[in-house]
Amino acid sequence: MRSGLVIAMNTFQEAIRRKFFWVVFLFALVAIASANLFSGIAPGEEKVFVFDFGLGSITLFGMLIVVFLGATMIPSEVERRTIFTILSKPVKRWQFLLGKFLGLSLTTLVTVAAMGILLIAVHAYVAKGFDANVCKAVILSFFQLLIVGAIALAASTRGSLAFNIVFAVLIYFVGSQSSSLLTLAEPEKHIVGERAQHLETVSWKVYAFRGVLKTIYWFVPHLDNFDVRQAVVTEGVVPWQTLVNCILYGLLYCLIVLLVAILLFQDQEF
Amino acid sequence: MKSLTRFCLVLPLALLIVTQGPLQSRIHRQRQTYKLLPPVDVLVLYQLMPAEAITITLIGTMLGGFRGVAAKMLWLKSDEYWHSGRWYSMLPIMRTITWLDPNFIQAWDIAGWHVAYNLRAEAKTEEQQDEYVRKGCEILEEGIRWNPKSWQLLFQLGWTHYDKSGNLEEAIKWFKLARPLEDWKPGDLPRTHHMIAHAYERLPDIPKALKTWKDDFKYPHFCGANKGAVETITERYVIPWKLMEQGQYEKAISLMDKLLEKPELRHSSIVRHVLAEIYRRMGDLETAQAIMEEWSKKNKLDAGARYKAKLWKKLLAEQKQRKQP
Repeated sequence: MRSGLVIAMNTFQEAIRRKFFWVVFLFALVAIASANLFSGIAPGEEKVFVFDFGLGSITLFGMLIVVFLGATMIPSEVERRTIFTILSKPVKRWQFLLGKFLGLSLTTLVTVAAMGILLIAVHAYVAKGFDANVCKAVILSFFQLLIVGAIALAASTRGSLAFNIVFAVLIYFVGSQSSSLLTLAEPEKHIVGERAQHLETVSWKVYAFRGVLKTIYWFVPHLDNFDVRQAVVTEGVVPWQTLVNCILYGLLYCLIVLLVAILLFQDQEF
Repeated sequence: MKSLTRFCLVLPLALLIVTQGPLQSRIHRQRQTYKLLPPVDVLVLYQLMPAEAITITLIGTMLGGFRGVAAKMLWLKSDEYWHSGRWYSMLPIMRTITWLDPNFIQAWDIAGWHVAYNLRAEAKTEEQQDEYVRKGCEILEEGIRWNPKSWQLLFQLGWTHYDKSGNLEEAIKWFKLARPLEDWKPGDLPRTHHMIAHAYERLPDIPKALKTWKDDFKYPHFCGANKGAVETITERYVIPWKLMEQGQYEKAISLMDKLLEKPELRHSSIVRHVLAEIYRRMGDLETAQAIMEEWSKKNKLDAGARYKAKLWKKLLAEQKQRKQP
């Protein structure tokens, strides 16, 4: 386990030494800090605009960092031939993978924490008060990015760099609309009124399509669980119980993806 | 990999996959309870605009957290169109804005007003005008579905019914929904409450109008306009209304005719509405309709008179048709 932690710290230090990381990270900080300057285009809704812009920046730039770092982790080690050196040591493959994941998580945590603190400060300045929902939204976006990072890392155990990046981004987009997949797969629970009459005339092809959608729904991460924009916009509440459940879901899904990654990595020959 | 190792990995994987199902269901239920679900659902979109639903959902996903920002940028574009007179071009942009950010109250408010007022002014025929007002109200109603606690939208819909469609019962309904949500401070005029009273005066329902004005006295924000309104209504309309309710229509009509002879009331809207109502309750719908039709031609701003004139004209035509063999 100690070797895993060493790999984790090394991964973190490698990540923060990359130019790409600093360019994206600093750009994100500048974008969040300047959110208030652009809020004039939404008079009367400045705090919602700042929140949208800030959280959108955290998600977008955080995803760029996480996907790029996660997708390049294993391929870069293979390219530099350092993976042979590491695996020849008494380091189990699962420890190596876990260490990489922990390093990526630590990088994501530092990135999201810095951007999140800045967003909370800017939002508090505009809203003239602290909003706990913004804090909860930042915490949830961290776990959302963690899932995407885990998927990018799992893909990198087998795929090429381009494939890993595209795959991770695709999963992010599909996962962000997972509730729509369920709605399309079970329309009878959602369509009311006149259009409900058309449901009776569907063919076997439509049933098959709905089956496919439902299968995809069960396997993709439900990233829209981590979206609490409605609470901030409508000044509602994000209960702590929901927050804890979403965090548990995030950790559970990361564990699932890691197990899949270990299964893929165990038999990989270099 | 040894099969035992593989088994030790696959078994917990399967268990975790199974565990995430109930956890996801619990999260979904909680999000529904606390209204954390995003307001734009693909099938709700499908019911509104079927051809574009999937495309719009995909674009929304790609924009991610910047949907609200994109909506504000498009808002600037619609403002540009407004100032350059491209009123019809504003409509698809406003539709897109309300989809991207359904909680953008101003977009719904301005879109509904734009259709019901500005596009109505451009309409060539009366049917087109009514259609635009109806569409404007539909837009506001949709905005209220996304934002049920928005005083601004509820009041605007009530006002649109009061000022444009003339359907005063609908106006009262929406004003009453808006009233508890008004961000009232001591010293402010209780706009919504006063609009309910005005709408009752023109409905007409004199007892309810009087009660609404009197209710205002109980509140610390009493502004004095109420006192004048209560005095005026008591002086002019309470007795004719009571006579009407007792079935003494001729006496009530005579009192109302005397009011109309007064120079200061020659152009009074409320007098005519009450007079028309007396005739209607008497069973003389034709005279009631004629009063409203004449008044709506003299005073084009009285939407209530226009609405009643049309409605009663339609009722009379239906009655005539039923009588024909």
